[in-house]
Amino acid sequence: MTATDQLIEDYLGRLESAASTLPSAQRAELLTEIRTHIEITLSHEEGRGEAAVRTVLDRLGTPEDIAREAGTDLTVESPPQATATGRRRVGAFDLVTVILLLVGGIVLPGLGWVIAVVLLWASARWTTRDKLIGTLVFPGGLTALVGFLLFSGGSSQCSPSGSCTSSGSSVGVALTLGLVAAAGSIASAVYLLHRAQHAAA
Amino acid sequence: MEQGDALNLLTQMRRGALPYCVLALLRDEQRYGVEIVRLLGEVDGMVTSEGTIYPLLSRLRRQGLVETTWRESTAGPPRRYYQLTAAGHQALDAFAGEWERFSGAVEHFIGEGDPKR
Repeated sequence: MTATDQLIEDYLGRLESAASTLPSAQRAELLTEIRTHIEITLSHEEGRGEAAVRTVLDRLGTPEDIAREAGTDLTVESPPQATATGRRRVGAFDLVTVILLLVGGIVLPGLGWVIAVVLLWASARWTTRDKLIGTLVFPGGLTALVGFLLFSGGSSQCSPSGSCTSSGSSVGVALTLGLVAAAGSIASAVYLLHRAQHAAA
Repeated sequence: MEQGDALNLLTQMRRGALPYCVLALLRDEQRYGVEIVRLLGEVDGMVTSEGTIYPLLSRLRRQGLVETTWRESTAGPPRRYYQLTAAGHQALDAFAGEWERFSGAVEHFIGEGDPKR
């Protein structure tokens, strides 16, 4: 290896260590580009004497400058990429969690809602306050309302005119409670989705 | 405003405008890296460290604004040619329009000659 080759190798060695934080494919690409640049530029020159090599390397700037420029785009680009992935996750995992909170207890009686609560608390998307709201407003989601409708449909006797003969007042109370639970559950589901979107943005 | 602030601002503006100057060099033809570096270097005040153009080219490629093809050369190693993609043309046109307005406005106030021009 000649002295000028050694100059070039030293320069590229410095670049390689300065660029050590880059992803390896990107670092390899950068090294190839700079090496090719040096080769092509020197092939345009009269010869590859030490002065010519030093001029080419000087004009390139320090390896640290080049590595820094390559690294700035990592810090600039990485957060938006992370956000993009997060945004996609709202569409899948978090949506499943919220839907299960609402109807899980109906699809898989009891157990579905429990699974939803586990998913909710396992997710990093929501704060503890969000999770409490999701759990307590209202346990079972729409199960209470659907359960009431099934129960009343099966047990009460309704005439064609619409008057029902089953214990009137308690049916009314149960229906009201079911509706309140359903409205609350839907409201908290909307709230959780909104929070999930907010956290992803 | 201190003098250091103005220098810092100009450095930032140069950094910001440089990618579009690279895109503009590729508007009508494909060029290889050394050629791009040489053309930028010929204009005073554009680039201080030529080597920093390569990370910039790499970034433009990952952003989908340029694409590359390798071609054999009669002398020296194969050369990587850069050309604009459709997205690159769009980005360049959008910047060029805004830049014309902005630079014209600044020139109007601080340029030499008649300010009412």
